[in-house]
Amino acid sequence: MEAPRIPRPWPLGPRGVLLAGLVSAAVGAHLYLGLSWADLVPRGTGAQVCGDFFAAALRPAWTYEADFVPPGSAPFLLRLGEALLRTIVFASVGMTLALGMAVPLGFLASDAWWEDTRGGEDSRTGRGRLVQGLVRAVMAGMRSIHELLWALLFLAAFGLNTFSAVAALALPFGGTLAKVFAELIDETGGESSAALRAAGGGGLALFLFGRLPGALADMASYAFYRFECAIRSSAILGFFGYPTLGYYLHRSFENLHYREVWTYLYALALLVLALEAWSAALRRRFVA
Amino acid sequence: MNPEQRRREVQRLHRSRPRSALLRWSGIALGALALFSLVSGEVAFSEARDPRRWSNLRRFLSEEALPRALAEPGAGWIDGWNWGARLWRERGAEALGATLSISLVAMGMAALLGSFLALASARSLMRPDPLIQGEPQSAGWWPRVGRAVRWLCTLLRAIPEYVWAFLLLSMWGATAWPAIVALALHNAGILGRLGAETIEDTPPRELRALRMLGANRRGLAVFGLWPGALTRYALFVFYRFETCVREATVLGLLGISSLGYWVQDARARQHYDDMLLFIGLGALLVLGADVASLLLRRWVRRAG
Amino acid sequence: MSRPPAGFQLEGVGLTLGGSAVLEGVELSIAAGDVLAVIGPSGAGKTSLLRLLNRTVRPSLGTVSMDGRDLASLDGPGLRRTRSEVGFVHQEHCLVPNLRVVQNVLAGRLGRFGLWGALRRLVWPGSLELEAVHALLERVGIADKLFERTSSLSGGERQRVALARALFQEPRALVADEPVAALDPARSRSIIELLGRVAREEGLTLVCGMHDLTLAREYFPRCVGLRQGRVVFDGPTAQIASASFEDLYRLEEREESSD
Repeated sequence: MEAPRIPRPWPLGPRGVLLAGLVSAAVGAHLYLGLSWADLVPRGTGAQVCGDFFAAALRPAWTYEADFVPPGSAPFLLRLGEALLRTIVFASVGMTLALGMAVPLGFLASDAWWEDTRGGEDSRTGRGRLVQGLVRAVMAGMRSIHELLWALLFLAAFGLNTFSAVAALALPFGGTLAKVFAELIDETGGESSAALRAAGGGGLALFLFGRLPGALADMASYAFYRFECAIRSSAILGFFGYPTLGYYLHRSFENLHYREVWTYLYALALLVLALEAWSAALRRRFVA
Repeated sequence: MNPEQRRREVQRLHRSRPRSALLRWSGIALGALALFSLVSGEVAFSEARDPRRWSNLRRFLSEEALPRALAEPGAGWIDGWNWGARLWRERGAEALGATLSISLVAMGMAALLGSFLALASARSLMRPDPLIQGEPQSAGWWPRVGRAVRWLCTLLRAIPEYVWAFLLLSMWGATAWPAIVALALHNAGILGRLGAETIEDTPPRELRALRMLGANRRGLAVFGLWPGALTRYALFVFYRFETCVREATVLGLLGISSLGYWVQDARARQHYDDMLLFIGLGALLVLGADVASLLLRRWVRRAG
Repeated sequence: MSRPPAGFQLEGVGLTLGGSAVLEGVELSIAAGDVLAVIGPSGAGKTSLLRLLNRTVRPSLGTVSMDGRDLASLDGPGLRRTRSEVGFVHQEHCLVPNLRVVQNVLAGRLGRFGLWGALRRLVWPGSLELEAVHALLERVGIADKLFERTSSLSGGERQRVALARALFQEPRALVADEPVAALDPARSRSIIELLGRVAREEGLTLVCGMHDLTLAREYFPRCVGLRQGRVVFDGPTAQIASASFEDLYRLEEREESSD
């Protein structure tokens, strides 16, 4: 018989060792990059930008900062509202397309799909395995390229247009969602679907009613979290010329209108905060 | 029960079935948002049918995206190989190293900063009697500090890395620092929140049991909180590492020397073949980080 | 439900799972309308034996037949039809927790609905189906839980839903695999009592795996004792000596303590 293991008196376990590994890797990387901590003190114009910018943090703008505003331009807060709305619209179209791709891909990538639709015993047939592998490879390709790089690719291939922007959002988000969906579906125990198979169920109906309901709450919760990420990414797409929040933020910063920049930053933070509160309320409801 | 009675009973049960207004209205609101967004005209789906776009795409795929070295008359696959190898030697290898290093340093900083934020924002710690949790006393100023730190975390993670990097770039110039600090700030905000939730989820009963054995606060922290919370925190850190590498790649687009820098450089010179090569390198790096983080997390979970 | 009850015949059945023998040389004849308990300690092979009856598992040796037809020969639609004729009540976790009770009961006929039928009935059940489910739930004593979320029910209530689902299949036999293993004694008794009563009223064959000797002797006219994959006794409960029942467990305990 094996003697009971005496716990180490050292509070760091293997995980602590791993964290220590991360720290040493970080130090090594630091040396590799030749970073100098002195550079963290801004100098010259940088110092001035830094001072002005953070001084503006407590005084966000409510109107345009510029002395001259071209006649006919919308009031600042209205433009802010428009920018926020477009940010949300781009994000939700991107998410809708992403979900449209992620649901079938995630199903096909899960083991549960093949188990349920191919009837338990001989579930992992050669063809099923091949399709599953292919789907997983496509998903990996979709999510391994960042949405901004997809945006650049589409810019190069299609030119600047709004469809490219949402497609650039949809591809990596679809890949990530599909991967997590497949994992969540496989994590639900197969007991209830096995019981329904024992009752004569099979095929798609078995998957949809025996398996999917167990994962649906987590899938919805994760999709909501990704929507929050999509809002952030949609805002950044503005840096490439799309009319979302990033576009105006970028322009205000270039024009040294730091108080406007802070208004945009706070607006984005409030939007994200509101979404977080909403999703937290939903999660509590799901869990209860 | 006759059929009529049964029908009425079923209807009564259906009317009084448990359901959540929040869930239903959230579903309706999200559906309406999706529908509105699709038909608002902000996104020009008609663009996808524009023949000019498709001829652009055809040209891009058939000419611009192919390595120039292969387009020259009499070129063989060896020229393509040489082209790739040259780019890798001259720029790719170094940029890959820089991207990885940036995310490692950033992750280290974020883990450190995030753990402080987590400790300073956990509701179960930010009170006059942390870890002991006796009868509620006068709250004092601890909860207020905790709330302020939670707000800070929200602000940190609500602002995307890309925006942080863009803002910091103008202050520090084109060193690696803006990218590192941007990644560290955003991820510290996320890790701070996740860490605080982990601490709050530590069952108070265990802590109380240790307390009854006569442990002091330091003992409580080391034996009650540290072992469980640390594993979870480490898992979060490795989980974020994957995302961090992804983001570090694109921060280069701003002019910081990661892979993104060479993507942007190739794009500016309209060398789309080079651009695709660097994007591919980035994708490989992300996939590598993905696998590494998966393996590490599995190892931590098994060991811890 | 006018369909005749099903009978089963197990001849020389052996089952090997993962290299170890789970069942050996099992001869068992279950006539149509029989009510019997399969008893034995955990690990004796009860679950596997019951699973053979709707061909969730296939025997490695010998044949399992239902009404004289070898189950091994079935596949595709025929297999599904046969399975739907055997109502199975599992130990636990056999319901879909996130669905409502009515949907769980309706899912009993999943195999007969086809995809679109299943979609329609489970998302917008018709009033006739709702009333049929309500009537079944009334029989098992939880009619007022029709639209509850299954996850909010107690263990005993869930087993009643599982029984209602099995009945909704319009089965010719009921097979229950330790249906009360997760319940307290009082609830166990009422569930076993309910099972027996329903089987009697419907004239169904009932095979129930369990390890509670008292309940088995009280409610089942026939008992099959199973130990280490072998049938050690089989006959009318009244004719089986108490000593054989107790041996079933005593031997096992001695073996357990020796390893």
